Amino acid sequence: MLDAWQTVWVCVVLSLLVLALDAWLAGRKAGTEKASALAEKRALRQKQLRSGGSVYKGQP
Amino acid sequence: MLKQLASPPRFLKLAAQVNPFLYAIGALLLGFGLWFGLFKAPVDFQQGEVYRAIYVHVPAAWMSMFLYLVACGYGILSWIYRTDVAAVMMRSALPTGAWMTILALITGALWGKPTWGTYWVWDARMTSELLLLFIYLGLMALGQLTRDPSKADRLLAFALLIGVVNIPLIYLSVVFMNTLHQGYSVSMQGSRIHPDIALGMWLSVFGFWLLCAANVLRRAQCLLIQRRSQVV
Repeated sequence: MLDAWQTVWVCVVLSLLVLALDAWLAGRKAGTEKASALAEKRALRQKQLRSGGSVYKGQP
Repeated sequence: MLKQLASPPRFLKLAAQVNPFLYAIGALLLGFGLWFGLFKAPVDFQQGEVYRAIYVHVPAAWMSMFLYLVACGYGILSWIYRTDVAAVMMRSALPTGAWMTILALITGALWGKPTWGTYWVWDARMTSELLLLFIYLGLMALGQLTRDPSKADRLLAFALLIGVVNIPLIYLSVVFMNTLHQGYSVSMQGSRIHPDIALGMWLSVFGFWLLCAANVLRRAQCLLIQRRSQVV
């Protein structure tokens, strides 16, 4: 069995790990979304370049 | 004001600006609270050093209930106004709330062993907190049930409103039921704990609060971007 200070430290380290893990999981998904949005944009740009059109709005 | 915050671009911009500050101030408060609580606050005359688990157990337990109420509040807003921002905030609070419930249960069990001689008993407070974890997990699964986001949001908001009865049950269980868990140390009428212990605890509570808010906002940003990309 853990002694008093060991119990306290396990609780503290566990809490910090859980907070960090939650932040990482929330951010990891955001990172994936950003990456897929960028990939989507890049694919659209390639498609427009191949078709000979401008990739910028308002330009002929 | 509410209308302005319901605008997704405005919300995304505001969340991106606010989030680094929430993380920084939250980490500072929690760090200072833990340092003060672990090294400066006096020893408890009855429990000895092990009472210091209070600096993480109490904030986690309070956040587990508070985040449910936050999700519920956003659920009501999303039901009434049908805005994406309210719906993603409702969904984003659930995983963080579930993590806080797990943390409260584990730290409570670890604290319980040297204090009560057991990791777990089917006590009213602990059982209702475990029930809260199952509610969180069920709600997170419910949110994934249908592909139509607006339908899923309404379903989720409705289920959240039903599950909210568990929150006063957790909170008042130590008053109305004969439990092993101790009663209130802090209430609206004041605090029954040493001011130094209370200071460390409040700093940790605010630190947890800001860090949880930052995590919820971070997840909400992601979900909102995801929704908007699906609509476009």
